[in-house]
Amino acid sequence: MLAQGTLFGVNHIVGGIRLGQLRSEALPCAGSVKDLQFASGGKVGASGCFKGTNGEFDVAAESKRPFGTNTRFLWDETPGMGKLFIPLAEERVSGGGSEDSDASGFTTFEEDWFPAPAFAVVLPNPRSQNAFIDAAASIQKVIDGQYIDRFTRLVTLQFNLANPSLDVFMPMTMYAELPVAGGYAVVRVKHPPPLMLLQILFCAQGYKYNVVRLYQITANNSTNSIALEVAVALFYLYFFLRIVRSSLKKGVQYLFKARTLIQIVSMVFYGGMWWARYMSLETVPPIEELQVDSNLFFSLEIPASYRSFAVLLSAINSFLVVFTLADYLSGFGTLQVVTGSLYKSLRPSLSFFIIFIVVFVGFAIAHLMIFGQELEQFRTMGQSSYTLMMALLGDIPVEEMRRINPGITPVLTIGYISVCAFVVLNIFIAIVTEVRIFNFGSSHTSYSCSTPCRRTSDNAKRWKAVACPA
Amino acid sequence: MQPQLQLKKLLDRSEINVNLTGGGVILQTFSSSQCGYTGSLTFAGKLCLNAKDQARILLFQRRMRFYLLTQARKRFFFARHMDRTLLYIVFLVSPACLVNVCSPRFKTFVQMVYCISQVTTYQNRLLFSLSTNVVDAVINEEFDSSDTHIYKSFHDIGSTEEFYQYLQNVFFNQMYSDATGFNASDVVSIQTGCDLFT
Repeated sequence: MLAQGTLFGVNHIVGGIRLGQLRSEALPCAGSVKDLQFASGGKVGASGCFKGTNGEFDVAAESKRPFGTNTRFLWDETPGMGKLFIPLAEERVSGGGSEDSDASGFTTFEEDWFPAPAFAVVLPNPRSQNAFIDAAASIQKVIDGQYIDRFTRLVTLQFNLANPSLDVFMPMTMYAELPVAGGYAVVRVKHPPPLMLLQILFCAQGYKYNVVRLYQITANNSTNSIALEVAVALFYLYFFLRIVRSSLKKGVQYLFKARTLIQIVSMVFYGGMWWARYMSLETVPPIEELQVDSNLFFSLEIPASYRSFAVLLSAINSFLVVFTLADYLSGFGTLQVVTGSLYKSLRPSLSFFIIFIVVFVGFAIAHLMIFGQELEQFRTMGQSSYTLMMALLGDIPVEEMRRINPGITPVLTIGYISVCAFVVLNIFIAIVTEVRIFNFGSSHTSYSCSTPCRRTSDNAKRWKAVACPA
Repeated sequence: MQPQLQLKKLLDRSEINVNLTGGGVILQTFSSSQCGYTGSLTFAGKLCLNAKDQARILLFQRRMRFYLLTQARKRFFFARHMDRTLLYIVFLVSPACLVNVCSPRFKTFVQMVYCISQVTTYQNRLLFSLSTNVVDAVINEEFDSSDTHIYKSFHDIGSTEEFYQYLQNVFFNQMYSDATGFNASDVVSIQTGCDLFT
C-alpha cells in the first residue's frame, strides 16, 4: 500500500486544498446593443454585461450572493464543504485590501487583477481519514451544483506543499480566467508580457507558485550567512549615518548626486527587503497551528508573496551593488573608456531614446491594430511591444503575420527592421563611438598622457581664437 | 607621502609661464613628471596688448593651472583606488583590517560578498527540480484517455466541462491517489527528526 498526501513522496501537502472562484454581478450594458432584447421562459429583458471590456474583475461589482442548484455555495464559507484557517474577509484585509497592495490576490496573465477567491470548497487533506471518499464527494457536489456559471470570472485551485529536506514551502495557485469573450484563458503563449515590477512578481502563466522559506527572517539558517547579514546590516547603518552627516555638512544638493542617489536607492531597497521579510513573519500562521494533515486550508500566499518580494528587492540591490562596482572599476585605466563613454553619451543619447520610443510605440500601435484580434503576440499593447522587442533580436512571427495580412506584413516588417534595427540602433552606437573618440582618442587602449596633452592643445586653440580675432 | 602633500609639491614644481614679447609671441609651457606625463605647448599669434587682452591672457593662465590641478587630482584618485584594492585583498585574509577601511568602496566590497552569498543561497538546482516536478505533476499532466483522444493538459482547458474533467480525473488522481506517493513503510523514517511534519 502506498501512502498519500505527498507529491513524489517528499513534498507534503499541507492542510486542505481550496477550490475557489470570483463572481461578478451582471450590470446594465452601455454599448450600442444595450437595448438588445432576449426572451427567456416567457419573459423579455435586456442582456446583462460584466464590467470592463476584457472581463476585468471589479471588487465593487463582486457578487456575494449564494448560488448553486443542489448545493448552496456561500461567499465566505459553505457548510459541509470544508473550512478556512483564516476567514476570507480577514485574509483580504491582511493582504492589503486594494488592487495596488493586496498580497492575497494576484494579477493574471491577462493582466486582470483579482483578490483572494471566495466561495471556497476545501477538499480534505489527503492524509486525513476517508480523504479519498470525502474529496470525491465534494468534487461531485461541485459538478452537480453547477459551481461554474456565467457569473464566474475566475476559478482557482490552491494548495500548499512543504519540503522539510529543503526547508521550503511552496504555496501554489492554479487559475483559469473566464473572460467576457467566452471560454477559458489559461496559458496561450510562451513568454510573459513586459508588465510592471510587482506584476512580474505576482503573475504567472495560468499558475503561480513561490518556493520560499517562511519561518525565518534571514535568507539562510547557516551561521556564516547570518553573520554576513549582520555585518552587511551594520555597514548599511554606518553608511546611512555617513550620508546623513555629509548632507548636513555639504547641503541638500549632496543627496542629489548620482553616486549618493544610487546609495540611497540601495539603502531603500535593503530596508524594504527587511520590511518584506518582517511582514512575511507577521502574516504567516503560527508554526504550532500549522498541521500538515489538517483539513483546514492555510493561506500561505500572503507570507510567500512578501518573501518573494524580499527576494526581488534583494535581487535589485545586487544589481545596484554590481553597478556601483562598475563605477568603482571605472577609476582604473582603460576601464574608464567604457564607463566614461557611456556616461558622457547619456545626454546626446537622450534625443535618440525619444526618437526610438516614438518610432517603437508607433509600430507597436500599428501591429496591435492590424494583428491584435487574431495573433496573440499582438493582442495587447504590452504584448505588441514585447513582440517587437523580440523582433529586434530576430524573433518575429512573420509567417503568422503574413497569414493574417500578406499585403501589409512585408511593409511593416521591413519598415520596422530598417528603421529601428538598422538606423536608430546604429545611430546610438555611433553616438557612443563618437563620444569615446572625442574624449578618449581613437585607440582602443589609449588613456595615456597624450590625451590630456591633446585636450590642452584644443583649449589653447580655442583661447587663441577668442583672444586674438583675425 | 600623503596625497595632499604630493599634490602641493606638484603644483609648486609645475611650470606655467606666459611670456609676452614685443613681437607678439606668447610662449606657454608646462611639465610635470610627478603626474607621470609631460607636455609642452608653444604657439605664436598676434598679440594684443591692451588691458582687456592681458586680462584674457591671465585668465588663460589660470585655466591652465586649474587644468593641471584637475589632472593631478585624477592621477591621485587612481592611486588611492589602487591602495583600496590592496586593502580589500588584505581584508579577504585578515578581518583585523576592518577598522581602517570604512569607505564607500569598502561598502561595495562587503555588498559584493553579500551578493555572492545570496547567489549561493538561491542557486539551488534542487529548488528548481522541486518546482519543475510539481508543475509537471499538476499542470502538465495529461487528461484521462476517456476524456480526450489528443494530448491535453491544464493549459488546454477551454470550457467548463473540460475544467471539471481536469478536476475530477487529473487533479484528484494526482492528489488523492498513489500516483506520486511512496511506500508506507518509509513514513516513519522520513518523519523522524522533523517535528514540523509529524
